Amino acid sequence: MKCFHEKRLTVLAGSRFINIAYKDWGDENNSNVAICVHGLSRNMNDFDELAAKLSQRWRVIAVDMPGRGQSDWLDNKLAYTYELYEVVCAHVIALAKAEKVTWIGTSMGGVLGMRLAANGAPFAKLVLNDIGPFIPAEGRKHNQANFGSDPIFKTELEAIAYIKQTRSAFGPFTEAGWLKFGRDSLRQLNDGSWTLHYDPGLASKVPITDSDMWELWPKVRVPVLTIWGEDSRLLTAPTVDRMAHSGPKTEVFSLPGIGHCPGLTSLPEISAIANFIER
Amino acid sequence: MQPRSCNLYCLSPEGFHRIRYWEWGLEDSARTVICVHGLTRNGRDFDDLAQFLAGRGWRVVCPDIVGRGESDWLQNKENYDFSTYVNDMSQLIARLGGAPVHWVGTSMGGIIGQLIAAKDQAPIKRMVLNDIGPLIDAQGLSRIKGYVGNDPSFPNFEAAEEAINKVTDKFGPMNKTQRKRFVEVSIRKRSNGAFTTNYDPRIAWAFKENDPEDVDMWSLWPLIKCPILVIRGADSDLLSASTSHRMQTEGPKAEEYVLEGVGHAPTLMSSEEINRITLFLEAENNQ
Repeated sequence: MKCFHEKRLTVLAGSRFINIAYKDWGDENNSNVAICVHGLSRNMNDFDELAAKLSQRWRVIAVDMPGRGQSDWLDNKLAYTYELYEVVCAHVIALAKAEKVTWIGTSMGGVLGMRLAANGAPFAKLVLNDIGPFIPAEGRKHNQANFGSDPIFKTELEAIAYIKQTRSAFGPFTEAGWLKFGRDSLRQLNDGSWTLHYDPGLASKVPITDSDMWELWPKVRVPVLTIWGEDSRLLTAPTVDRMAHSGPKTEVFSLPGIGHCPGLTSLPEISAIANFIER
Repeated sequence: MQPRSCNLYCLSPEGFHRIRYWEWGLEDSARTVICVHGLTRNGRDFDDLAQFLAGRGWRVVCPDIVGRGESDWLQNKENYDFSTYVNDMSQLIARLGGAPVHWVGTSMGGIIGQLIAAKDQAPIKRMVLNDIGPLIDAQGLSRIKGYVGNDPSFPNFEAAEEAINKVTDKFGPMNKTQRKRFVEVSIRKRSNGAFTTNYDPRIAWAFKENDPEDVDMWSLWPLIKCPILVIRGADSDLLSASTSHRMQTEGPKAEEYVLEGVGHAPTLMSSEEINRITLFLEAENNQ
């Protein structure tokens, strides 16, 4: 059952306005609002299963960040920054006619959630999917290994095989889940070939270092649930431990045998999130 | 009719702040107009215009710009700048559904409107600029500098009324009831019972720390693509007849509506003004 509407939002991005695409799930007037933001090279479709389940009781807004999916690409590739994404997110938060919203962020979307929360965003709760205030350089390098390489594939199947191979740590997915994940990662070019569903200009030329955001952590003053893929190279055990014992003292939902990053499509993951945000 | 009082959280360089906006008419109306007030004023200045337009099926949204009326005050005075106001209004447009809106801007509200409308893909359909244009005379700014942000304290309503009337004597036209309400929304009560102006005195820091110069935004004018109605108080010291003339002949080629015997700024409370604005807002967009 399709219970969302695809919509567009006009957002001020420096010297111009750009269009941001989002899926609006559930009742638009529901004051229980969850906003879902994807990882670095991903898009709003990653939240379809979660949103379909939550939208019986929640309004769920899943967004494509600039340069991803159906949202506009930026002419100036240097403008793909967290500062701009935060402005975009502030516009998305404004969409919700609620005093407070719940934030569900995967990887990059979780970094945005922490930054916004530390900035005093009107959040009720925060769900971080396999991300925390410290990201080791090694994990970031691995995660961005093929990022921005702009590969072209003759057939969709070839392209999906590539996604499955380069993103093997994602999951857990069923076979059908892999197929959807693969398809959601792709766009078809005019000549019928396939490529990835983001602006290759997103890839930063800046050397990758450890990302240390611990100063944000005590400023996050809302309840936090962290979904953790135990084999993750971006969210490591010592970071999870510190997240659980300092600042907002996150609850942790662990997924053994999963790396970066949990797909949020399995029932246990969805139930963990639903239980946390509805409590 | 009373407006709905709504909150919106906006992001500035110092984090999120809350702004209040006043919403009139049907929430799901296909036609939305945002009315933005002048420097020291607030969203309640538009009650008369808003009620009239709401009666014709419009959704009318009148924000208190941050630092004014019932909106938050910022921590750092430096963030009281047009970049913050433009971002806040962009977020307000998102709150209203993200579709293009109509705009009525008095003075500062018209500067914000021009800054937004000049951007590529700006979500503004038609815009009324009330006694403001791309060139603002230093003389008028000098006069404003004299009274803005002085953080006065008035022992009682009558004293406040007298002081407000003095610095706004060129505003008009207003009847006695409108004058009274104009004063009421201009002031707030301090905890000690005295009255003061209804804004953060620090909004005026840029005025206080700099000598007034002409503000020249003519480079933006040709970038504005939406139809414009400029309302000019014939005695205005912020919008000159020559600036208004140039607004009519260049760029979006504004229509002009002049109010004799009024200075800065027309209050948009008379039925003549309200009718003229309505006529403009409801005209077919030829674009």
